[in-house]
Amino acid sequence: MKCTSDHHITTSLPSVVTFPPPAKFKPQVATTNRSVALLLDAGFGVLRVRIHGRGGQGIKTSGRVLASALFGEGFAVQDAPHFGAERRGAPVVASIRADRSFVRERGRIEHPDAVAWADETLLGALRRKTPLSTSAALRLDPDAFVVVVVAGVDPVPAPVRMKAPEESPEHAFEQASEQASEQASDQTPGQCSREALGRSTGLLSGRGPARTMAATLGVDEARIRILMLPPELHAGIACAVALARLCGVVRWETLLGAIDVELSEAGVGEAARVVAHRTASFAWDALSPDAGVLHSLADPGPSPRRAGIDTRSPDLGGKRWVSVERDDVSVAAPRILASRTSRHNPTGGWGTKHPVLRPERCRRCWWICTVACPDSAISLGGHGMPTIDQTHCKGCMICATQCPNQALVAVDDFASAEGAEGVQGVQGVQGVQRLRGIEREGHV
Amino acid sequence: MSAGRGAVTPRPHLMASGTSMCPGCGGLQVVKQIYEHLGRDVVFVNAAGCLTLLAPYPTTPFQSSWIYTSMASAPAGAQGLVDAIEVLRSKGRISGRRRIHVVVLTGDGAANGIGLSSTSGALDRRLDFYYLCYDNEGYGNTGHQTSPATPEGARTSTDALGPGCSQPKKDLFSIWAAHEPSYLATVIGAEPQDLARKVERARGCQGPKMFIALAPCPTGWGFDPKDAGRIGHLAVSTGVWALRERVDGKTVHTKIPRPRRLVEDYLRAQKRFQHLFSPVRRDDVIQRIQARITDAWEDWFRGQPTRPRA
Amino acid sequence: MIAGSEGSQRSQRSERRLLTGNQAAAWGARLGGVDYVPAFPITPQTEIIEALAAWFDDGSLMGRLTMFESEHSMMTAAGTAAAAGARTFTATSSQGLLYSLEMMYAVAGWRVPFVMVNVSRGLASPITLESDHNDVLAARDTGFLQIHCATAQEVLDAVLIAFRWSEDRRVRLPVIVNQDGFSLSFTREPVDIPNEDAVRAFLPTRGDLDETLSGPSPQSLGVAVLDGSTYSYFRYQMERAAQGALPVLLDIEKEFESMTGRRFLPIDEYRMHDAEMAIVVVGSLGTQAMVAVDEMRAEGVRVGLVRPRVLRPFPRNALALTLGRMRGVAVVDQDLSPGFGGILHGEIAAALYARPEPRPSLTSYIGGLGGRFVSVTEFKRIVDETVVASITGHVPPPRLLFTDEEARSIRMLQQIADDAPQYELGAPFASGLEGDRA
Ligand SMILES: Cc1ncc(C[n+]2csc(CCOP(=O)(O)OP(=O)(O)O)c2C)c(N)n1
Ligand code: SF4
Ligand code: SF4
Ligand code: SF4
Ligand SMILES: [Mg+2]
Repeated sequence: MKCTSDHHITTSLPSVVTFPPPAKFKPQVATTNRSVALLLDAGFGVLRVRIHGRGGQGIKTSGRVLASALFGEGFAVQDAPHFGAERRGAPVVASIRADRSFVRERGRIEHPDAVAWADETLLGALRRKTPLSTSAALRLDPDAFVVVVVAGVDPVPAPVRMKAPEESPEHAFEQASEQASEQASDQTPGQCSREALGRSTGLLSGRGPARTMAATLGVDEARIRILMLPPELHAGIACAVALARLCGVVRWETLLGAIDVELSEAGVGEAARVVAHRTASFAWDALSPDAGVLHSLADPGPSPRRAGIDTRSPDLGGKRWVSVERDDVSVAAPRILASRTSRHNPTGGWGTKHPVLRPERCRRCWWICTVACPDSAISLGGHGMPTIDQTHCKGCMICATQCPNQALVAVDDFASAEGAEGVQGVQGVQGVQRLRGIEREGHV
Repeated sequence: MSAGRGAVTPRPHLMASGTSMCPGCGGLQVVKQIYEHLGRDVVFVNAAGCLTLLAPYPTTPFQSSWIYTSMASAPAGAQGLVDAIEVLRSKGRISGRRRIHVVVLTGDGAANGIGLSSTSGALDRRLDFYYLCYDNEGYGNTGHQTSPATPEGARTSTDALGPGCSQPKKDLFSIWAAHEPSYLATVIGAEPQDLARKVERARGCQGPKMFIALAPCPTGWGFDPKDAGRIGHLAVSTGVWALRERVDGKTVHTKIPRPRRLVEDYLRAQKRFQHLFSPVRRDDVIQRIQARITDAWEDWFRGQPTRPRA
Repeated sequence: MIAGSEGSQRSQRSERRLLTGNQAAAWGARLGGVDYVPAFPITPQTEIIEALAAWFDDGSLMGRLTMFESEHSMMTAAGTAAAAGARTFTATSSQGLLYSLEMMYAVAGWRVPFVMVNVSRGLASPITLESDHNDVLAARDTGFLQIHCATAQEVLDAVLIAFRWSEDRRVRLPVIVNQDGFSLSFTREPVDIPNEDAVRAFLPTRGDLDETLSGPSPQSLGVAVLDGSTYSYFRYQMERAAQGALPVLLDIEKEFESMTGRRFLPIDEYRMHDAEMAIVVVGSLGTQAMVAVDEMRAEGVRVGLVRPRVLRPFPRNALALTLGRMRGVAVVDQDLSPGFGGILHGEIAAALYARPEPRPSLTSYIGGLGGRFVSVTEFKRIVDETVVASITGHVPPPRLLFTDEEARSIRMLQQIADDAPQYELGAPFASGLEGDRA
């Protein structure tokens, strides 16, 4: 592929942009190819970002959207999705690199400038500290930027200002929670970054999710953004748009063009395209305060990360080689001797809705829901009353549809406090989350 | 003749949660049920397919043994295990009265195609084992391409545009029946009582015990996972999935839908058939699919001396 | 089988008989006390499973032989049976080995012990029944260890040693015992059959049943991994186990020698003590090369023979040590990697390159494909050329052994096949033996 800075894929841009640009759209940074070149000359090396999600979230398409958009702005890009099985729910990572000339380095991006997660499972995983979730693979550089997209949030809380956490973290957190609940009925879409998190802290209660996340990921807390998407908006697209916004070199029209091209290649229909445009608008606005932030990171001064740890690092970037010796064959084969270790996988974060039992309606039929659940997430407690293992329930809702007495009701994990009230005495989101066992598991 | 209420009693779940199967996976649902009926003394022999990822290192949902072989040769793997266990037992090198059931798990792709020869071999040798084919009607693990079990009209990722899969679903039941296994049945996770009774019946048989389970697949078929049960019931009530059982050379239906619903109800509920309804309704294809189902049932009724009661 | 003369002093209780390579393989399995033989026929291997089937039937062997529908299935069953704790033996050849290749990688990765005899046969296309080593070398990266035999006696010995080796928990990898089709498989030679009790002491029944799939505790085997690091760890473990198998073999070999009086070192050296030139071959071509060595020694050429018995793990250091002090080394490959040349030649070159200079002049010859005979005269000519190379320092390009007589014969066949009288007999081969060497 040959791509120079004066090459511009204007042909792929639609002649008529059907969806209006977002209200808050203001070009923030360089928008011409010439300025892109200048920007790069100023020391803006290879841009490296990752999008994380799970099969079914359209992560591959999101990676393509971002790459196409950067390509449309004259960059040479590399767009490398990585996934195991083609499976809804299986982890997917898209690695996107952009540079002025052909991108030569390959493989997983070890030191991304920014990471976007379309997958709120992460939050649960972090909280639970399972061996899998605390793996070193999650660690990022301290100055990496992190966007976590939480999908299906209804209603989306308005942006809430909060005092800087240094001042008084606990207090600030409570204050934010209060402010958030006050504004819970306000449907204005907006960014819910660190400040507004108090609102959704069912996810990561305690001293604030951004802080927990910062500690686990090893990044500066101030560089974490949590984007709450209203239902039906597309988490994957939001990731692509957020990253495009952060790097600040993608124009709105180019972005829409990229979305159209990629969606039409993925063969999706008009409705999905409209959703993607609405998502783009939402995410674009939400991240406008951070537009170009990656650019600002790219000051020309020597930065150890930018010097290219990815490609040439004599000290393996703080790691060293060890010699692999022969282990006893009982452990040296791909063999699992323990039983039922899949319970370490907290699949409870896969869905955004989960069933909650209304005990007064349950006739204790003794079997329907427990047999129907594919994931063994319902067992029978005393007196034949079903118990739902919220840590593992994937939220498929088969049980709720199969129960002849409608005793299992779907509860939106991010529902307002009012919505969850009256359900088994659970109060608000935190209650629901607790039901889901996150709280419990966190201490195991 | 579905089994009485007593056939299903709640059992402790042998299979643990936390697998990487999609939410609402019909395949997982049926494996979980069969595992609970057979008990812990089983060894699963898995072919390549979605279920390969049941046990990625270091996590397994099982408290019994499981071995992954290859896409083509899981039944041969079962043969090696059964042979070895029998020989070692006859030589007194393993003791205990535990009867170990060896259970092959494969998808429809493996069962109908690449693994058909090794299945046929195991049937020829009258291997004493269970075989569960979870039929999600496509090569699911690789992104749901058309397999020999994909039904006519269904869109898959290799029949993504145009009229969908052009050939009718391969009749694996008859292929297996021609080998006269000791026990042969079709099941579905949405009919757990029927399934429980069949596993119970198979238990009493020596030799090959073969199950084909229709496995509604939200990901490949395109429906909301919560509807998995509904889709399963529709498959049965429209006659698309005939619940059958074959013992001693005689096939009987264990559930006869009366009246049969129109297949349209089943098709409409899934994205893979949407193109038959919009933008233009493809009555020709819908009629053809309906006719095939109707004919199959008529044929069967004709072959019956007395019409069994629903 | 006719009972023959007494065995050697050390193995008084052994019995000497005339056996084909195939019968020797079957005897190895029988003495090894196999529990299970998954099988599928292919010439020239079939005789092995026929013999074993008969022994299971008449009660000389306790256990089971199961006929499969393919080698792919057979290999799967060998793996699962071994994983369940049965001492398992199987045999194949050529197309069969390749048909099972997917499963060879899989079962080696399970780290289960069993022994497979491969009777080497050239691979299609074109189809042939006769021997060369492309089949077994296609399996050289599978994780199976490989023993290559030159005599029927070695086949029997190798099977016994292979069971011990494979089952040793420091190794725990399946082992291929290779013999050449026809020149060993169907050729009868005198073979010492060791006494059964002695073998039982050397090779007791498998003691790891508790750790197997039929043991008391469940296990998930052959599982997927989710990342490259975990994958690498398990693959590296196979490498460590395979490399570490050489010293293990030396231990086993000592015990074997005290039982039978026969040595079984990873490399068989012949008249190498004062040699300056060496021929390297694998398999039954080795005895033919010995004849050439003897004749040339009589003519005053200080030449010897190096025959690796074990190709996996590759005895790199031992080879480098022995060959490194030669002035010239000729590798005769009974295999061909089109576009590369001799596979063994490449591996020997890699071993030698680890040595400091001066290194021997290393020549390469491809011979013995599809059972083509390599004559004693040719071996001598090969040594001559290598001597010249070692003196002049000019190493000739690899030679594909083919004579003018063979050239004439192929032209005749082509004339008939193509009905094409315009072919001039021998035209492209005009300069005979030297023709293709510019
Ligand atoms: C020999 C071989 N070819 C191809 C594959 C890739 N592969 C893995 S799973 C799969 C599809 C299996 O389809 P099916 O048997 O229907 O099971 P499902 O994935 O639907 O569960 C394929 C083609 C493989 N593993 N092995
Ligand atoms: S299916 Fe419904 S009624 Fe039956 S036990 Fe479950 S919740 Fe209760
Ligand atoms: S929603 Fe119900 S059926 Fe689905 S995983 Fe959760 S408990 Fe099981
Ligand atoms: S693709 Fe279908 S069969 Fe495979 S895991 Fe997902 S739902 Fe189950
Ligand atoms: Mg399938």
